[in-house]
Parts: sequence; structure tokens; C-alpha cells
Amino acid sequence: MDELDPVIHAPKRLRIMALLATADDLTFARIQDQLRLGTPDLSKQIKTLHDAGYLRTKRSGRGPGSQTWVGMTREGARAYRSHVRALRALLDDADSTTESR
Amino acid sequence: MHDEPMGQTPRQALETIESDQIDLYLRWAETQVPWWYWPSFATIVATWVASYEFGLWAGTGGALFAAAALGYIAGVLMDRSGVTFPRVRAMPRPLLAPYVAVFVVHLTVVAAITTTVIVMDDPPFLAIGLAIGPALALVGSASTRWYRAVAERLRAQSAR
Repeated sequence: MDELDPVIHAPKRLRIMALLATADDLTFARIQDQLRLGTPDLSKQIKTLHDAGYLRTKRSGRGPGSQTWVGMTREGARAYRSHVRALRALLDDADSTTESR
Repeated sequence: MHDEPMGQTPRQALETIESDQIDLYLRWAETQVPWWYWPSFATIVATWVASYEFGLWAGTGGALFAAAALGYIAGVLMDRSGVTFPRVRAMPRPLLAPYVAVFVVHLTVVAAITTTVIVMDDPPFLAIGLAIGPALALVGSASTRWYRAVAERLRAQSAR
């Protein structure tokens, strides 16, 4: 039985994980641009996910052109898929309850 | 742990992430496959093929040049778009066909060149290079336009 993951359940973190499920790695700037989050906010959310073991980060290049690349760990990918399955199950339950009324 | 409101229903959460994902796939095509990608790719491949006209060593040099140039372009495009390669697993089903088509174009070109080199005794490499360049640029650009059109349609549907 899949359960909602408390770390991923926060909307911003769920959106970050969803984006990272679409590509091997994304830059910090790409995630920021896509989700329209401020730098401190995004850093905080990424740190929370990183501390939970769900994300890995690495820097490429040096100086002003350097980029931070963020990717999902295997554990993160598993947790994300389980979380999405739990959300779908909740949605199915809600739909079947509505239909049975 | 919950440091922000959980005001989303499961349906809203799933719709939001689906919309974000489609948006990323679309932006990937816009930024990582810019208009100049296919003409550049076609020119590099055509130059590589044509270089065999001047002997095996010239062809080997051409292959090394092509590998370095394509590697450089791939690096530039990844830095520019902020995305490595999109994952097929999370890709919406309608986008898979044009996405796969892009790779089929690449593989077909490599297979055609290899077959020509193996089958023909004295292939007209210069002519093949000149023919393959524009064809590759056109087919590649068409596959990218197809991908974008499908992604735009999905984005419009998810915004409703």
C-alpha cells in the first residue's frame, strides 16, 4: 500500500520532484525559472529533499558561468512514484465514493 | 516538516505536476533544440561523409572532428536549456512518437552512411555528403516541429 510521503507532500517540493522525474538532471536556474520560486525558497526546498536523501546536486564549471545541477536519487525516484500512486489511489477512492452516492 | 499549507486536493496536485511536466518537455524542445541545431548537425555530418572522398585518413579526421563538434554542441545545448536528456518514462504518450522520431532520424543517418561505406566499392562521398546535408536538416527540423506541435496541444489541453 503506497502512502503519502510527508517530505514530498508539500506542494513546492512535489513540483520540484515532478520536474526532476522528467529528466536526468536539471539546473537550479531551470527549476527556478519553471516553478517561479525565489532563490532562498528553492534552496530551502532542495536542501530538505537533499537531506532526506531524495536529491543529489553537483556543480559544473567555474566562476560566473558555473551551474548547479540537481538530480533525483534512486530512493527519491522510488519515493516520488509511491507518492504519486498514493495520490492517484486517493483520487480513485474519492471518485468511486462520489459515484456510489 | 509541513512548512507550507497543504491546501491542494489530490486532483489539483496531480494536475499541477502534469502541467509542469508538459511545460518542461515543451521548453526543452524550444531551448535545447533551437532552429540552428539541425542545420549545424546536418553540416557536421555532411562534412564528415564528404571527407571520405579524400581517403580513409581524411575520413577518420572527419569522424574525429564530427564527434568533437557534436559533443561540443550537446554540451552547449544542455547548459543553455538547463536540462540533460528528458526521461521517456514520465513523458506523455502523445509526445513519445515525435521524440522517438528524432532519434530514428539520427540512427537512420548513421545506418545509411555505414551501409554505403560497406556496400559500395567506390562511393561518391562528396555527392552523398552534399545530398545528405539538406535532407537531414529538413527531416530533423520537421520532427522537432512535430514534437513542438504535440507539446503545444497538450499544454493547451492541460490549461483548460
